[in-house]
Amino acid sequence: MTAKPKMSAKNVGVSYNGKVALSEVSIDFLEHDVISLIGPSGCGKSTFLRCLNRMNDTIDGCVVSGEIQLDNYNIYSSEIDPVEVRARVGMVFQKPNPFPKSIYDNICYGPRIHGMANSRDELDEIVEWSLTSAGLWEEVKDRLNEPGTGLSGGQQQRLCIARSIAIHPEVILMDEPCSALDPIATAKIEELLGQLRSKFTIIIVTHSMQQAARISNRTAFFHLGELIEEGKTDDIFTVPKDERTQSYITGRIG
Amino acid sequence: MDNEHIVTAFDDDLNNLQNKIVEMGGLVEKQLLDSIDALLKFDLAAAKEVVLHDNHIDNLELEIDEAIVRLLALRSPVAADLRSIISCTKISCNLERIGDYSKNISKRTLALSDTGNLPLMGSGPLKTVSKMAEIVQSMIKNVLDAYIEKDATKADDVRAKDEDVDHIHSGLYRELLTYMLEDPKNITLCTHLLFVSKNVERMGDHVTSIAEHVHFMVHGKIPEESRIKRDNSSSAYV
Amino acid sequence: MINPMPKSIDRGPNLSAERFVKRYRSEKCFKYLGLFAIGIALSMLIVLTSSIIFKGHSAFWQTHIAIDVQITSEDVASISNANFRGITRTSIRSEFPEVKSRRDKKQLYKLFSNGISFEIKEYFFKNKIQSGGIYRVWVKASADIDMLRKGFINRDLEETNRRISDKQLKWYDQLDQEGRIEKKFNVTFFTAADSREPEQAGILGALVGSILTLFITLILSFPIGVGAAIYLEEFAKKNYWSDLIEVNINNLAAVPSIVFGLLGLAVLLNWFGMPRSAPIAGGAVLALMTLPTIIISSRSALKAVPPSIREAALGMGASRLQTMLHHVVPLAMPGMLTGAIIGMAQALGETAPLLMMGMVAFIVDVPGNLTDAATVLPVQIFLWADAPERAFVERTSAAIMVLLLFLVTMNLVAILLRKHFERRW
Repeated sequence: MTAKPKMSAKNVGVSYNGKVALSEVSIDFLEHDVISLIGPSGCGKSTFLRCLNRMNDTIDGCVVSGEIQLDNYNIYSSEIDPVEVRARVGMVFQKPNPFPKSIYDNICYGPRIHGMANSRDELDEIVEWSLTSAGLWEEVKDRLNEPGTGLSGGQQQRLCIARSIAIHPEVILMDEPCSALDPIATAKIEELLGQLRSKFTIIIVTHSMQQAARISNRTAFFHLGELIEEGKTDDIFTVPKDERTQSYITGRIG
Repeated sequence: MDNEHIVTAFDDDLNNLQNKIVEMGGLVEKQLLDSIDALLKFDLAAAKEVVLHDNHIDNLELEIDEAIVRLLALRSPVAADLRSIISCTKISCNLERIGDYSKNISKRTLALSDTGNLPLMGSGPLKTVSKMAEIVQSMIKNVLDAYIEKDATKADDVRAKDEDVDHIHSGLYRELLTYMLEDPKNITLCTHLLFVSKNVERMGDHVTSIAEHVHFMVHGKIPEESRIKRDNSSSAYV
Repeated sequence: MINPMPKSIDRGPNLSAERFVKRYRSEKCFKYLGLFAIGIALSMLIVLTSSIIFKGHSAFWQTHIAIDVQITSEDVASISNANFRGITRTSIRSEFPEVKSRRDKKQLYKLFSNGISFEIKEYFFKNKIQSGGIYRVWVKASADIDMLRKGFINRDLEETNRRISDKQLKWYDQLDQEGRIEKKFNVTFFTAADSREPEQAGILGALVGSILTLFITLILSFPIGVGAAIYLEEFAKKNYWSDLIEVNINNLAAVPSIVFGLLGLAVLLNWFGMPRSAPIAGGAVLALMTLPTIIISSRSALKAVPPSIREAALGMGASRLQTMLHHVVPLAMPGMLTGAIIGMAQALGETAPLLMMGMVAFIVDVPGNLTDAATVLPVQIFLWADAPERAFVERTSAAIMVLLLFLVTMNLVAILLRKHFERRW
């Protein structure tokens, strides 16, 4: 029985000012999957990730072709507002970027602008749930009014994750979320991802193949702007079908 | 894959491991030849040598184990590299067992020295055992080539050869039983020869196992067709 | 294993002492040059400030003469009807009964400021005097007496070369001996508008005019400038037209200010018919002049906000406007305020465009609203610098001090505002 994919990309291509960065990428993302996108630098995985929540719209000269569907709606159709897409598909970035506001205000910014809470109490609840889900509540519950930028790198990244789950997105995109963090902070976030997958679909771009192997159940390998191979993580890392995938994951190219 | 790892030290480690396997395989081949030779010529000194030299094979297995643990810890291998390294554990294990069988053959040769020159020496059964050993020796050589060249087809051919070894062993089993029935004085010699034959047949099985692991190393799964067992000595009744 | 370096270039770094000495010597040289430049700048500043203070400090003191005013109870009862001019002159003459001739009387009256009758009226009115009698009232001396008191008039010159006659000198000395001449703090300087008489002249009119004009400038240029910067930076498409606009804005910042005065004259006064010499017209012209500065500094403040903040906000599903207003603009506010400070400081000191707009008139009233005729501090300074009376020299320097103080206060307020907005990220 094939489950209906949560998001699917069909023949997606991206070019920057005429220069092709990504061509003919088709891939399905099932609900509650954790999918890693791996590949050498410049292979287009970050570009593809940014297509999934229309963040490429903010870049001048970027042209996206093809279709990306979220629950049967093509997110690139002219009737769909990119703001709505981004409320349903959240994003966590490589370098932790909390707003220069208090921890409380960081979390409740999203719920405020999307009208998710009717009272201060409801906002408090949302903040507590988000921080608890992100594994940060115990560490910051006594200092919610302190600036978010005063936390350590790992805590800041968990704050960013809490911020993005506060608006209950359906899919969370992560662009190398641990690359700026030390191994302990990385491990904490990987543990967190393991717990978050019960509620969200997670698509994560990573440079570390060990991380992809640890946390994801499906992996997609990109190279020179093309999707080379996609499948179960177990298979990709034990019996990859494509020669190029093999070369990359064993450290022969890249 | 012909191309090398970006980190060349990784390639050096893998080559080192491969060399050790090849060395072990060469030693095992030699032990087999020497032990059969010692049996045929009834050369007790040579048999003693074979028993002693088994140490080298055991030491090599330990070295290979250490190298594999190190590679796994430090290089985090995946895909073909991982399969290759895991296969090496199995292959070295199998080679060590083959070495043990050669030692066992030589021990039996030494045991036979007590019985003196017996009429069966130099005749049929010994020739049969020698022929079996030849096949097994060529199988060992071919499987090692298949391992170095990462040629699954060659490995599959080796696997097929085991059929012949099994067949010969079944025939010899019956023959020896007949001799034992004819004349009780033959029992000691024939019993030892039975075990020698069984050892060689088991060696063939281990080489087949190595061949299956080479196939796994290349293709990522063991061969689909199950081994053809022509050894029906377990159900032989005379 | 890396290849060995070719022998011809295989030298280690040159760590010889002479190389280091040369390096540190040029560093020391540069440091001393810098200190020297700062020293010169500081000494210039000290020289300038001290010369202004030296010339202007005496303006804060005004010579007063005490008169014993004789007033009847009827006059006290109806102050508004009483003839204070007569009362004043009578009281003065009673001090010097020997003065008889018309000419001498004229000279006697000239010892005092010509507005003292109003001063005396003011005195009786403010102190609610109920009964008649003789009251000692301190009134302002004339500008010439003031200059004499402050030592700017040389007594040794011949009478024909002096502004004060010998007779006046005699009367002055007499009053002085009686202890009836004193210098008091010159409150008039801060409470009166411009006047032909130096002792009655004050800067309040110009100060209020400056404040009103700057107020108009600020409320016109800051929102429009910031809004234009936000639009150009975030919403406008990057094409030929936006490049053209950017080039033009940069050029406008360098246009001589008098050209803006011409623009104001032609468009605001002639076309729109704004009241000439009013703060609203002057403020509008200065706003036009300040806009390019504010737009340029606001744009670079906006550019300096790290894109990670924008991406974080957009990633949360905020629209572009929400991203700008909730996140980017508050972070860029310190830079924008800096631009505003620079712009306002420039506008405060601008004289040329306002002269073109006609704010050079002689205004004796303190402006009450935005459409009353007014003048501004720089123009007032210009007018007083041109005036022939000796007393205006010190008042010009005093007015410069007030202008500088105003500027410093304005900057302090803006810096405090900026500190309030500054955040670490």
